[in-house]
Amino acid sequence: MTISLREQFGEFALSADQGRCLGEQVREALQGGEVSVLDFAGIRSVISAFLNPAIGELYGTFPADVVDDRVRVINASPVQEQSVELVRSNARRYYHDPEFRRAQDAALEELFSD
Amino acid sequence: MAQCVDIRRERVSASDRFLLDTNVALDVGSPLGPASPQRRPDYSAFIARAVSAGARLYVSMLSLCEMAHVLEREAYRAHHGQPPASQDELKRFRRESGVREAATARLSNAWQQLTSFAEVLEASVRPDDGTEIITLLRETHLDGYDPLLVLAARRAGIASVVTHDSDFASVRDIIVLTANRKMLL
Repeated sequence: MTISLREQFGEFALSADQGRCLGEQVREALQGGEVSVLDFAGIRSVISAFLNPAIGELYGTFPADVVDDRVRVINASPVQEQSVELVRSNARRYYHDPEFRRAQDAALEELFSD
Repeated sequence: MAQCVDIRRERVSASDRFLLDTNVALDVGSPLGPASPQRRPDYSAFIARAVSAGARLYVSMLSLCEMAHVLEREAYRAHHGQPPASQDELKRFRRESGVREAATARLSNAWQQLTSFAEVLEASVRPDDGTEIITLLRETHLDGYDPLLVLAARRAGIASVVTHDSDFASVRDIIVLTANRKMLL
């Protein structure tokens, strides 16, 4: 299954809600054993707030090698590719290293402790 | 006191201009804590609405430096399982092999994400800014660096700051857009 981000969200993939919407589609595909190809053609801006629920959170449900193999990205710019890879590597560790997870949650708590 | 507005209810138009504070920049631009209950989806939802409406968003170079600081502390905490007990520990950590490279790669990526939808606000400082900074620190609850952000916003004619930091509620003549319930009571 190929999903065009441009068709679904326009040129900007910015919100966690949009990311969650994409994540749900990918989750269903993974449950059916399908490969999801996320097409970034025409996307001007994509941010971690979008990528975390779209891709990162999948690592909390499925084995890391399954997500690595079956969630693919095409036509992304070098920066967008790096953003995806940072979200992937962070999520892999976040869901499998309790100490790392505690550290990140604590860092965010500090950031928003107000 | 600032005028505090619930970011979930703010209507945005093409003529609006907003400055994003560092906490919001980090929330939307860093991959930290994908499932953390601390994440604040209201800010990314607002940014998407603002961009869609044609409003202009800004980030400050000051935020880039603050983000570097936060990401370095987070990396230390992830590596050692606890925050640095002293500045010396943090300094030793940043000299370890690969630490600086990894931290700057993450910082650079976050900054490029932000500047793909927001403009960078000039952070010029003038020789006589000291008096105004001290006045802001005396009259508000801002921390030591944030007066520079307020000055930069004022100079650029930007009245609205998007932040989770309740200190900004104590600044006169600005509009604070926030999801922080403390400021919305």
